[in-house]
Amino acid sequence: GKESEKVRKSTVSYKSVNQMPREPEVKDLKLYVDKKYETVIMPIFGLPVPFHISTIKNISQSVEGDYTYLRINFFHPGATMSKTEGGTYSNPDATFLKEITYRSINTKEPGEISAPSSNLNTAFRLIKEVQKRFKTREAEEREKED
Amino acid sequence: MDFLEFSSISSEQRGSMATGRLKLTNEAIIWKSDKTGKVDEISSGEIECANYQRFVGHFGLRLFLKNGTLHRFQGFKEDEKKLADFFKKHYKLEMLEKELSMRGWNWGNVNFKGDVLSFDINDKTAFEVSISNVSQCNQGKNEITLEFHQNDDAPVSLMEMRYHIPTTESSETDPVENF
Repeated sequence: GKESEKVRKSTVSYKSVNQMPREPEVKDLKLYVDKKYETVIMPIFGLPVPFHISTIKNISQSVEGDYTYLRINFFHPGATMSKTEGGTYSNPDATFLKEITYRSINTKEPGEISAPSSNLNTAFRLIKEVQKRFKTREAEEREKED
Repeated sequence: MDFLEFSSISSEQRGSMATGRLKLTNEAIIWKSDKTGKVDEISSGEIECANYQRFVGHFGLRLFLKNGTLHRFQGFKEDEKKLADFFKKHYKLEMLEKELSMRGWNWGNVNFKGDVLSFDINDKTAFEVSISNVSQCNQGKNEITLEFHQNDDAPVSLMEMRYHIPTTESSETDPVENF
């Protein structure tokens, strides 16, 4: 019924570690956007940690001095949600990761092909892209249901 | 003397992975950095528990010490059985798998053990943070902010994390007290 539709779907990124992409970014502990599984893999103290695109609310990027910053905001209870995003949280009693910020140097070291911050730039662009596609699809599915 | 040696094993140092050689002897685990020559030695008696964690194309060794600190090594290519047998024989420790959560959720439970904050989703750990990496911790209404020491050796460095904490939970004052 209408109630169940409103509950935000608990989408799962990977069923097991075998589905994780074998990309150098994952191994090198950079950010990697997996378009196939619609997941952003973020390095957290040595571990590549997947976050499904549906958990990400918005992202912002800034350049200050020698550094580029990428901030990722996640959906969590207590934040205002627009009607299109809709829905409730299936488990409001859990602890939510709200926000995560990364920093990267803009300058190249000798011998480097690109500056470390190019990873954050690419991630920013790809997250936007995958998010857009995901939202469009969600909206289409909602339309079909109505 | 029985020993095992592995080359190109990386050790997690403040969010970046430094490569080095790992040597396991009867009494200790010794990791030596290729770049700086820095040596980390863990005597086998200090280890409280040992786990292995599967990554894409390799596996990692996770050592939790009796003093509450966490050590992690990655890049093992071979079968984990060899390592597990060595742990059992010489250190009398069972090296069990610690599976990581691949769900991709941003909600779960935060648990503390020793100096380690672990974010668990359905009983599986998604990530772990050593409190020694935290430079500052602030508590707000329903919110905890952790700021981290910066490491320019890492291609991307984690700066800050914010958590939303449900109002009912009182145990969450722990991180503030830990400082």
